[in-house]
Amino acid sequence: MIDIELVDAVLDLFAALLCLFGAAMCLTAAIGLVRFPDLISRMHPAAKPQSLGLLVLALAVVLHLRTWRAALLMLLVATLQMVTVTLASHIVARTGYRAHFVESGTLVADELAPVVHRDRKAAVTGGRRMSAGSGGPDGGQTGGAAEPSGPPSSDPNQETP
Amino acid sequence: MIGILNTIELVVVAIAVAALATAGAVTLIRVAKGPTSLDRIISSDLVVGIVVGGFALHVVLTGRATTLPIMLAISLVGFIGAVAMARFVHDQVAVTPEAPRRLRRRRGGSEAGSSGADEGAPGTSGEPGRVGEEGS
Repeated sequence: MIDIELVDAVLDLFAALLCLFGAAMCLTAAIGLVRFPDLISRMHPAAKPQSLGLLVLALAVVLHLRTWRAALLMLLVATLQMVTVTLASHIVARTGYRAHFVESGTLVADELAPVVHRDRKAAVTGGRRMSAGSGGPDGGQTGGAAEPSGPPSSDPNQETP
Repeated sequence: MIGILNTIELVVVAIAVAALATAGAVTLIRVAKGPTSLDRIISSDLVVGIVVGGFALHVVLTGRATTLPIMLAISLVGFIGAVAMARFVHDQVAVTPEAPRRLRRRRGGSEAGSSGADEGAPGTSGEPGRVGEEGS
């Protein structure tokens, strides 16, 4: 009897320690977000330590409640977190690069630059070609950009490198 | 023995709450002063994550499972704001003040038949001004 209560207390303590670790991870993410110099650096703490912190906090909740319902819900939360953080980071990085929030001097290797440059060129000349009558060879790369009737600012959105 | 363990647990969770509150406050600093709107977007995303973590700490503190669906809902829809705002930022950057001028000049040069040809112009012509603005 006493033994089971002791196990409960130890599990709760373990959950509390996991809570501390998860909160420390979130604090690390926040400090990194404030201290890092530019957008690409800041995306790193906003995505990775925060995800780890949230996963550990979910594990702490499961360890504290010790029910299947909580385990299932926290598994769902963790999965959704992994998926949505990836998605949001991808969109932010893509927008940041194409809107020139990223200074190319800070990058060691920039393999996206030729592709984006080529797509931009193709968007301009391809549109010209489209209005002249031919589809152009760059249809696969700049599918949306080759449409002459699209709104002006939505063209770069539809390029996929 | 068990009482001591429970006390330690409470203290540890209290420290975790303090750390999470500090994290939220520090993130709000970046939301307030982030030079670009993308910085604010990723910071507010982090705030959402910290709020979910706060709900987790609430569950651990009280032992009630009522906030679990709230955590699920927030983590389900928390990213939509970031994605929507990121798309909005793209449009905002592409249309810069000098773009219409250049567009007009080009239209005057090559007649009004090729309206599609100028579509790519605003994005490319907006680069220098925008970058200079970012530096400050």
